[in-house]
Amino acid sequence: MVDERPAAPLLRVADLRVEYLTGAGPVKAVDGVSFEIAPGEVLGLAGESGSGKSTIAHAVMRLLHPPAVIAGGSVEFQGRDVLALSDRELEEFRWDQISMVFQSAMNSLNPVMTIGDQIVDAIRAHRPVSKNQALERAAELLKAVGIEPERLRAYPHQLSGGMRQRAVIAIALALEPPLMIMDEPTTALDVVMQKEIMQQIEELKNRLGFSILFITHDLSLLVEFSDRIAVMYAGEIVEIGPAHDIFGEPLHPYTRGLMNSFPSLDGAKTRLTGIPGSPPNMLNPPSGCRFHPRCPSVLPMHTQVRPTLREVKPGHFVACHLYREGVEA
Amino acid sequence: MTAPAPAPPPGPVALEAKSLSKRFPIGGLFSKREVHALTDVSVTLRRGHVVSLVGESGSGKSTTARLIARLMPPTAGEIFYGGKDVLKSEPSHASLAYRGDVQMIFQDPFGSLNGSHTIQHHLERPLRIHKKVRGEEIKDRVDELLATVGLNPPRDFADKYPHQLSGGQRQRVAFARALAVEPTVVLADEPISMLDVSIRMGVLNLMEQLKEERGLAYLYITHDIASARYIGDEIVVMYAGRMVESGPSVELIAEPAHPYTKLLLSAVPNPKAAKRGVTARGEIPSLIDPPPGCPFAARCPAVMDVCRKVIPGPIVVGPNHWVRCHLYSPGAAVAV
Repeated sequence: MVDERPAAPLLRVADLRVEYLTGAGPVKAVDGVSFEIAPGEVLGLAGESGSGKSTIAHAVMRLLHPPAVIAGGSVEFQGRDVLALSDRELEEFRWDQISMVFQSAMNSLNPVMTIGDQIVDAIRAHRPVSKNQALERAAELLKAVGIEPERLRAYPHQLSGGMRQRAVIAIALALEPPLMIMDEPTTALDVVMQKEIMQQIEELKNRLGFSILFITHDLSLLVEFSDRIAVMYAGEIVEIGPAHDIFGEPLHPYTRGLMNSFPSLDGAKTRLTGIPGSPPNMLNPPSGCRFHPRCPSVLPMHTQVRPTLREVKPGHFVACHLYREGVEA
Repeated sequence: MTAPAPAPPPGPVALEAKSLSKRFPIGGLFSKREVHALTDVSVTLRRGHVVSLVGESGSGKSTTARLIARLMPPTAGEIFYGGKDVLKSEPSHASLAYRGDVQMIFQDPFGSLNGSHTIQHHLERPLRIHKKVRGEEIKDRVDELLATVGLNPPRDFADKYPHQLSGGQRQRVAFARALAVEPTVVLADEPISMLDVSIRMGVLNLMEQLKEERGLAYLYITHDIASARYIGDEIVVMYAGRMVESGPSVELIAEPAHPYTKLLLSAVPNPKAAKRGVTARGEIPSLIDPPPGCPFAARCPAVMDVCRKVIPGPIVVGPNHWVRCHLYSPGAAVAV
């Protein structure tokens, strides 16, 4: 069943709420988040530690375990209600429909199995193919991510960190899922390796046409590789729009602060201020706009009323009191 | 740091490391194999001056800092401090004075503070051990240190435990602890890489402020070449345990000479630039019994026969800017 309408999103997350139940009370890690990903699109999710970006990825994959609970909202994938899938359905759904690459994924390979056997396992768990057919496919996959097929017989410890991370990407691609979630896929790697791997992923994406939910704290990397970007702060999306709009004209004071936190490689040295204060304690988040204690443009009403996302420019939404109808920052 | 910033006159030399090398034996008792972690590294740290050491993991940056801090002995080399080679004058271990004067800041602000002690305790200890102040003055001194690193009001922070602070605040405590003993040299090993993006600049600006107020001599270690330029007066690029290029930070980034420096710069995500491919592939070579020649030869797009045989000496390519690359030898055509 192929849906021909171009506008139909692949993934639709609506008003998602995730809470961590702690002794000190529930922590609203994700508090009413909505977004869509179109087929073939790369959506970048930016935010600092504790902003809820990884929790969203885990919720979409249904990987959350107590004390984390989905407190509300919906996740639809190709029209299917992901939150209603049974354990059996989940087994088929994960990896086949959505695969995931974690930051520390290179350490998640089984140390006593060869790379080849691990790819073969992933394929044969979902497809009725012979071991030899699966091995052939595994060799193709390794080649696609830039590893010589001879490495099929290698054990994880015989590969460098960069090669292990490539092997994990090969496993994530094994079933050609329509959506790949990448959570800080290159953060543990050096920049040169990061660049090579990101280029390879982009080539594969262009060839195979899958979508990516790309999560990282590195805004420059995100702008370079995403079509659209959602910026998260304290469990909420505070700004979402086309990557180059957000880079060229960030609207939310938090996004602007983030942009002002990366030193430049050219021009005269200018003093950067970053953002004053610290990310909030999510057990007791600030009232009103959660960014208000750190915001340079805060007004008294901002501490009372929580702003909601509103479309300021075509496709570019921001949740900030400075952008009410007719009011410019 | 206001633009345009004229280069400040270099301050007096605080510490000079000359030709440091570190090898680790591996394998069995009779194995002669060695990891060449660091080979022939020299750095001069001046007061009020920041040297940024840039390189990928395994390039020897942290080893350099650990040798200078004397957390381990070098296989070869000299460290001059206060006019003498401290490896000779205090050979078995560093004196209390040296350990006080040369302070180290570590990457992990979660691991470098003891979770079962208050911040007060962390700052009191160096004050007592190094006998900087006594008795009732200690509390005032702790308050002063906390205020210096921007933790206000100080009393609120002094009574807290590390887990009650954010990563950025903890790293500020680490700086306060280093300052407690009134050091001249601070070796900061990736001090911001584990912090949230929005608070990194605050910590770098604090370093800058302390440099100006106290004339500290810094060695700033990072894998992030943009922050190396931001805080550094001078940048040293390391590759596979060796220094491959060094120069004033703005000039070195604007006109990188070594093919490895160029590769590193081409790999930095930069949304402003058109998409460029990386110019070389492969990974840092094994440091176990490395072959002769330039360590970058295997990945270099401009490699020549001579590169696999010998490492060139430093070749001057600009004011205070040198590179170890045969492309810049007299007679060689500069092709990259």
